[in-house]
Amino acid sequence: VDSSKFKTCQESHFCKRQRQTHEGEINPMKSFQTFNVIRDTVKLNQNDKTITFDLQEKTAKDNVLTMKLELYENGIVRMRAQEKSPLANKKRYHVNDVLLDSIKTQSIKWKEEPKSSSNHFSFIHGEKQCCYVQVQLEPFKLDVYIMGELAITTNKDGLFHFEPIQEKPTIAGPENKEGNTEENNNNNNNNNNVAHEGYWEERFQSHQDSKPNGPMSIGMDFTFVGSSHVYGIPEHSTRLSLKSTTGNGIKENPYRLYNLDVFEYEIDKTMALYGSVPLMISHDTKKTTAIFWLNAAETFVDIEDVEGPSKKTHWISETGILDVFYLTGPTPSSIFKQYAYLTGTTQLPQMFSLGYHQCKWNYKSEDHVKEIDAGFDKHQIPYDVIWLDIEHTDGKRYFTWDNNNFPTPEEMLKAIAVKNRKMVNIVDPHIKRDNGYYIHSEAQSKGYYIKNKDGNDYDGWCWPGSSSYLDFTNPEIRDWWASQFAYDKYKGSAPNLYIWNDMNEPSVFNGPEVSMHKDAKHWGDYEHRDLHNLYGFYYHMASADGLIKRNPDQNDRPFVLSRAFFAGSQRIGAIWTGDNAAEWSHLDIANPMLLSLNIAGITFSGADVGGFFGNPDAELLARWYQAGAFQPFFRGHAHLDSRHREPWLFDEPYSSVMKDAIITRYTYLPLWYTTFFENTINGSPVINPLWVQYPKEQELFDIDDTIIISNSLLVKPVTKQGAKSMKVILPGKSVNEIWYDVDTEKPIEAGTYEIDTPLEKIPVYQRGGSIIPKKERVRRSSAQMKDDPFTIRIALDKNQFAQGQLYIDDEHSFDYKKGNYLYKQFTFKDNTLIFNTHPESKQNGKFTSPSTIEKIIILGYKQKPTSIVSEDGKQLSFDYDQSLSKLTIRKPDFSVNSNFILKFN
Amino acid sequence: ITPQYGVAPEELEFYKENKVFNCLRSNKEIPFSQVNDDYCDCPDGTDEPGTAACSNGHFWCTNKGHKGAYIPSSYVNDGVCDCCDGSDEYKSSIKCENKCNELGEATRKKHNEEVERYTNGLKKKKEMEEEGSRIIKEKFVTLETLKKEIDPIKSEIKELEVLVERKRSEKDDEEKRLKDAKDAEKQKDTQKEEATPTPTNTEETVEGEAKVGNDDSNNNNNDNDEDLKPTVEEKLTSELLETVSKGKDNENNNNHNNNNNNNNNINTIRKDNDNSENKSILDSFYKLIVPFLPNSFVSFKDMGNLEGLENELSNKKSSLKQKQDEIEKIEKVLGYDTGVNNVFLPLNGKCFDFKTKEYTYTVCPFDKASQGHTSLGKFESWKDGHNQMVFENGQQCWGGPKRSIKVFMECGSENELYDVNEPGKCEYTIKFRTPAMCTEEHLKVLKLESDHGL
Repeated sequence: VDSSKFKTCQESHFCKRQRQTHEGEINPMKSFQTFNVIRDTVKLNQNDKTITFDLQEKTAKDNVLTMKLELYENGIVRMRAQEKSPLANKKRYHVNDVLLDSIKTQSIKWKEEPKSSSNHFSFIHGEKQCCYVQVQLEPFKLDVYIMGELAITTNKDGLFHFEPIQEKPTIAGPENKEGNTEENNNNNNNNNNVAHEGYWEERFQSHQDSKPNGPMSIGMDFTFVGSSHVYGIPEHSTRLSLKSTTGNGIKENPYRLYNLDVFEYEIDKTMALYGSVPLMISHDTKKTTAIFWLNAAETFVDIEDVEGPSKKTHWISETGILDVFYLTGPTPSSIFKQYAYLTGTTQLPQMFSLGYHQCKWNYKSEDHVKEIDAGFDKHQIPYDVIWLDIEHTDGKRYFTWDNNNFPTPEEMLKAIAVKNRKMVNIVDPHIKRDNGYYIHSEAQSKGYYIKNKDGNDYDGWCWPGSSSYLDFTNPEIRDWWASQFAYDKYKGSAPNLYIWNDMNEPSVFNGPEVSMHKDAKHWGDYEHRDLHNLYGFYYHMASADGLIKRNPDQNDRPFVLSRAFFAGSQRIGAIWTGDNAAEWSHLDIANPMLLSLNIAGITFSGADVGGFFGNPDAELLARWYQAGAFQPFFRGHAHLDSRHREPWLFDEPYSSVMKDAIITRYTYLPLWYTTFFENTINGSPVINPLWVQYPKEQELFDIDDTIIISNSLLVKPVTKQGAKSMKVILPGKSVNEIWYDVDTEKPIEAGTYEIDTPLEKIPVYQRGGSIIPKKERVRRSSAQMKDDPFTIRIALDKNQFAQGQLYIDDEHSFDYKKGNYLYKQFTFKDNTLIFNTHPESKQNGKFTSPSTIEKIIILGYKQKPTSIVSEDGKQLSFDYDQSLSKLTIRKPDFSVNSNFILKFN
Repeated sequence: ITPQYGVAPEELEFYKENKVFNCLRSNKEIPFSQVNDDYCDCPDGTDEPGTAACSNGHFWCTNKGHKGAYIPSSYVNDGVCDCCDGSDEYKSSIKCENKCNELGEATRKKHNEEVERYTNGLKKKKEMEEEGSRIIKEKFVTLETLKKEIDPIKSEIKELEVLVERKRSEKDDEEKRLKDAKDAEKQKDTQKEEATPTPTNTEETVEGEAKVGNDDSNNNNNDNDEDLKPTVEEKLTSELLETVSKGKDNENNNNHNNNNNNNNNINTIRKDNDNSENKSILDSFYKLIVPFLPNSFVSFKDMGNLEGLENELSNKKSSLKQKQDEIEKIEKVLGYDTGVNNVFLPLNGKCFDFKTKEYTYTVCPFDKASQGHTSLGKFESWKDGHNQMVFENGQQCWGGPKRSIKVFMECGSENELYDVNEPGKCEYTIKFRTPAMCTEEHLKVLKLESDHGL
């Protein structure tokens, strides 16, 4: 990556101004001062369930803010602040459409009323006593207490800075000019030049930012008291546990959130990548808490280790209001519930999208598609989706086909549909400025494009050359865009064609930082800077909406993969980690990055298998398939210039290893599907870092190369070249956990082991105490497996107990939302296996499945039973392997629709 | 379904009703009732020939009217019709039509076409073999002839070289005398010119001239004086111009020794310099020609004899070169592996085209391959017997390797290219049908297949 193309905090004037305040440097900005609560403005409004008050800057008395505090269900505190009397012609952007409409404020009562004799007041939830909030008046400070102890402090370090919106000074002074550094240096303390540098215009490389609204940045510090680790704020190419960027002699760039198309990104950088979720989770052995900073402008986050030990964090955004959610946990699972309550859970993926996806830039013709499709069948490798990148279009005009190479797309799609496979086409947000192109001419005439600062259609350079960008922040334009996916509009499309949204940061090849000018104008007269991080989210939303609406019954769950994202994108579709490289380091960072996305709600995510840029050797690709097979979104992809790397193109044993990994993926589809369903209930990650499952085991807090799918399957893929052996940590010492190697089926106690990792080995372990549903008859694609019988794998814990879930529905429609599904629970306890409806199931009995349970395997069963009898007295045949303590029940053949009980004598 | 469902005829004997069933390829015995009971008991999958229970098993499609075939067990009852008789979807959501007759017909037709292709190909192959041996004979004869012709030419060249050398030294003496006289004359001219301002030269011209000037001063160490430089330049320029003119027409020959005219010419050039188009043409001309001019070009007097000799010498030399090249070429061809009975030899020297919408691909066996004007490489070697002709080291690919192409050889009744692909960036493949690849054995197999009723 050419990192000079991208801004650091130092090169972003607002960040530089805000950040200086905590580096012990003399802050030349008078406006950066202390805020005090105006005592007699404090009010508890029972009607709208808020506490409001004004804040006044100590020295600049006219800088008055109004603050609103609220409580939500599940222990969520919200704090909002903006100017009390904003200028009539200038406004701050409020993020809409990210929070769910369903969130509701809860009643509040005083814990300690504001009194003239006291410098603070506190309040508490009307009914539930999860936590309380204490506000200090002078200077303003806000503390959140959990379980009676101080957990999160606000403005403890006085970094609350709110640049009030102001009119542009009429006299243009030298302060408006860049490049006066010499003069500035000479007059550092008294002259306003430094202070006002970058206020009303700013330059980065060859790009001018006109900044008509001037400075309006916001900053705040939050300290997670007693915290040893913070996680989240994706997307960065760093490890899961966030590193400190300042303090104690550390001088790193702060983590940056600003969606960017970063060419050939590098590992372990705090620089921004394609998407942003401003959610930070703090964890220590006692509690888990989080801060959700709802702001769509460019944002920087500093992290510092302070005494306590605690984690001090400093959040800086260029514009927008101050809008902060405190998630009080106190457990990891309650954090996920709280965050899901605010921003929603992952749209339940269609089953096909959990299968294997085959992509390459570029499958170039209908014959080529046929050849790849046939290749999978010839080598008996299952796959579900074949992808077409930009070259399939007529000159990068999306919604069109290159007529030479794709003369009969309907037939091509039909041929794929015979095996119930799908195709995904790329549709990007840049629109070729070509009057002969219907999308462009219509968009232009309707005035649907984002405007540049002068009010003309924004014109930037992307794949098609000169392009304009639709303003997806406008709901009318989103609707218009969605209507373009109608089958009669998108010629050659079909119900088995799904969509891929790339370049939606947005990527503008000739724009600042390869993106859009910040002074471009959006709907509602907002600037691009106000909502940059939301652009990809809205685009993704409009595309997914189009896929729903194209069907008359609107009953097909959409599949749209997006590169850019924001908080809430999980509700729309899948995300991938962008343009990675065919290098071991990129394979190694894939799980940490995906874990970071998963804990921030973006559970349906993956990294391109093989690495997008370059050419992996057979070993790297084989290892990558092994890792990818256990990541939520599983797609092989490669650059235009990369050699073909379909799994059958390599020497043995590599090709077989890749094939086996894909087959293994398909056997676990019921587990994936069930786990994704459970995410829709509780917002839990689909792949978990170890600390989420074992929150009290401190030594796990830094581990991010190991994942646990649901709460049952631990995977540590091999990500080192030539690795003959590897260290594996099997967690759960504190609870006497047992793990079972899924290959050998041997039990292993929690602990750290050096295990052999020959090429064919994927280190996968089933947790003792879990029950995993599988389908071990692998077919050409997931659709053919739909009605196949299940194999149930029970791994017993030390108490001969195990529990697990199975979710089944039609695998593609929204009918599950009406309760048309089966959500079942297996419990093995007291030598009895019970299969019944899950207590949290809201099924209404309409759904039935032809599937049965063809095999039950119990690992850790201590001695051979004399008989296994079902409720109706039927004796089941079984097989017992003493050496493995493995019991296999042959053909119980129970239907999954009904419940059953098996007694082991 | 019966226990025999999905079993191929040759394995039916293992599936006769019995008390037990022995897994065919693993050491396990199961009750016969568990055959085709939709549960996989045998590690080798042989207990479930008719169901999808064993993922490593296979299912036999009878396909009456067409050709029986195995499909993977996972294709059984999966909602996709795989056997043309539909026997794989006996318990499925879809109904499969029996397409075996229709398909059998098509296959038989295709098969017959293949037989025909081979039959025709084999006929043509004979012709190619004959042509191959004819060519090889011709090549040997030509080679012998050429080899014999070489020695006489070599000795003629030697004689001529001696002669030319002598003439040349005579001429050098004359030249030196002439040059001394000229230099004296130039000295006067320079003084004259200093009085009138010289028009400024463009940078390029100065550069070019300076280079020539330096060369000159190296050759004439005495001429280092700065004042002399313009003179030398002018002299060279004028003479260059003359050379040019001489090449174009003989008119200017008359002006050849006239200094005034020379000066006029210089002025003309300088004027032209103001006109950028002309300037650049002249500049590039100088740049082109100056490095190649021999030191002796200054005089054209008494050239007749020497020039004639030199011409003759160069003719002889090129004739020798031509013959040597020809020998090398033939020897190279003879060095190639041209197959049994030189069957591939007739392809040498020929080129074949294949047109796609975007490009015309050309393959010249044993020589080179191209995509339009872009080289895809030179013939490198055979690979995999005579199944692949590999061409490498073509034009460098931007951001990639040097272009290359593999030509896959197949039996055909004509020599023709088809089906081009680019499996890796700038790494191409194409198929080539040629009678040379047809074999009797394959035809026999094909015919045998027809006899067995397909």
